[in-house]
Amino acid sequence: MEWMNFLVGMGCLLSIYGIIAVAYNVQYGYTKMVNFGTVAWFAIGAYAYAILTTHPPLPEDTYRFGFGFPILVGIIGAGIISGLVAFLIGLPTLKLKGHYFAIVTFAFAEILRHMLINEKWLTNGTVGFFAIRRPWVNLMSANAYTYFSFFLMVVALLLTYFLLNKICKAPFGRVLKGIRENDTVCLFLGKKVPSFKMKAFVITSIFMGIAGSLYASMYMTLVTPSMFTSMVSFLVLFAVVVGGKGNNKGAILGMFLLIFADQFTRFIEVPTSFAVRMSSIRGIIYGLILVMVLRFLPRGIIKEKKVIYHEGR
Amino acid sequence: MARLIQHILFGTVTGSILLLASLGFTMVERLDNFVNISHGQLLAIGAYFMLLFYNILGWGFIISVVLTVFLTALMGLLVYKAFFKPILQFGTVTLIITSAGVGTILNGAIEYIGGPDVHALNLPIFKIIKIGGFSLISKDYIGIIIVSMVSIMLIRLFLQKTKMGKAFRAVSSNRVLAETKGINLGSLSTLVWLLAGGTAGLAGILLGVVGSLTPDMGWNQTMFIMSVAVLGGLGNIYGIMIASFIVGLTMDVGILIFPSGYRPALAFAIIIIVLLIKPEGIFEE
Repeated sequence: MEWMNFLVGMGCLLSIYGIIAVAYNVQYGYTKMVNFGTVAWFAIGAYAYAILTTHPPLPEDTYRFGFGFPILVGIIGAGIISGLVAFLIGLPTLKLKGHYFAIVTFAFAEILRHMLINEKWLTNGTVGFFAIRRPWVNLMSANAYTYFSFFLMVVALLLTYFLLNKICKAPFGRVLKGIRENDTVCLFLGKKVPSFKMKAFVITSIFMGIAGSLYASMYMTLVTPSMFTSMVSFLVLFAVVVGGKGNNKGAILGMFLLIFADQFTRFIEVPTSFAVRMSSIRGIIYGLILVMVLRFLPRGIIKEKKVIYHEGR
Repeated sequence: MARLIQHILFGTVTGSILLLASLGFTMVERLDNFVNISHGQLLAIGAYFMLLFYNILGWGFIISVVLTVFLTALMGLLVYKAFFKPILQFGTVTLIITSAGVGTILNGAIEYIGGPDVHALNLPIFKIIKIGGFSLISKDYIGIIIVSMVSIMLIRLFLQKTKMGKAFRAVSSNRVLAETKGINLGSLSTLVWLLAGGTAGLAGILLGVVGSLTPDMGWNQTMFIMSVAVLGGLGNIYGIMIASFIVGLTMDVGILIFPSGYRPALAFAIIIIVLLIKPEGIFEE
């Protein structure tokens, strides 16, 4: 039974992070937008869901907004707000080259985290929101609900996978790959490079926001600023690089490996004196995996398939 | 008014430390053309080395400082040889991502050895200078400004007068041409990474003087360094001299206006504003 709970918990976590990994793969693997602030959109989704669905503030609460909307409004709202933020951030930054885009997104994620801590009227400060409403929790027993939520998240992951895979296989995805290889040539071919980049950025951010709302509502049932450190961005980036960039299956596989390493080190029993050091060991393991893969398997575990669209003349 | 002067002085001190910290980052950026996200961890390593030698082993102040700078320089070189050198030909993006991985490894190692607790260096505190009844600045702070200025002057001299310095400038302006002219890139990059590690170690000690040592200090410093580098124009060594003081002053004077929780966010706001208005940095060459 313990093993079953462990597996289901890991499956839930994997599904949520899998959504982000696939979405991130479209950004980094297909379009070569090195986003170092993935966690920002994850956090925006989670907080948007929390603020939209939580009960209106009581006199003793520090936050000023709580709308108490239904769950679906929360999830859709989380997606829309994430997409909107991506649009606003992307407008000036997407034209920046390689490492500048990485720096600016990293900075944005950090500013956002400080805002989550400091803007108490909106986010309730370091306390955050807790006891977030879980969708349809009253309909079944707690045990059945665990499996139900697992099922729901796997469906969400599969849906994301099929939708984004479809986009990647479509002409749209081919242009993205073209931008990755050489954006000047794409421009000469008459493709509106900025508009393609913006569409890809906004669409993937919407998925990240929805993943954030699922994480807040079904997995954690709480949001605090400390959940959204830059380590999350790195985790997603590492997963895509390890699994194989430009390849959605690879992104999920990479995420599986990292989540498994993470959950397994939490699951195995260690002396309590050692348990505090476990998180630092986890960091070392992640870093080593990434560095090794980049050095010896630069294209990841599952290599991107070379597609020949038009052979000969 | 006294408060404003005090904050300006704090800002100058922060700026001096940032200057030392950003120097190595910028030289590496200039040489190998990538943003080394793990650079902040070298500062943390320096601070923790100082903690080990000075507080735990109880060695003399000067010996501890010299050893710390020396060992951090070696660490810098080691990181380069082990992680970055083998993948130099894979291009900028791979290098940045690798540096994120290296940063995670170093940060994990620091947290593993140093533990999650907050440490303090407890360096000898000198008398506080009083001007008109207000305690303005301690000699520690003046010491920090002097140490950082002297180091920068030495490095500037090195870059302008020595053969190696000239080689570095040649490589940073045109790598291929410099290589065909017979500049030994191997020994040059060894030297640059030793310098980067050494200055980072020194900056780490100075950080320990003004603040405390936490496991995530490396990441925080990386962010400040990046904002200095972006403001000064990525890879522009003279630009960062002014940029580091601007960032330091913005953070420490800015908290008079904004809530103090936003102090780091002010540095990041600089990054975003600069990149939006003038992506090549203010002090373009």
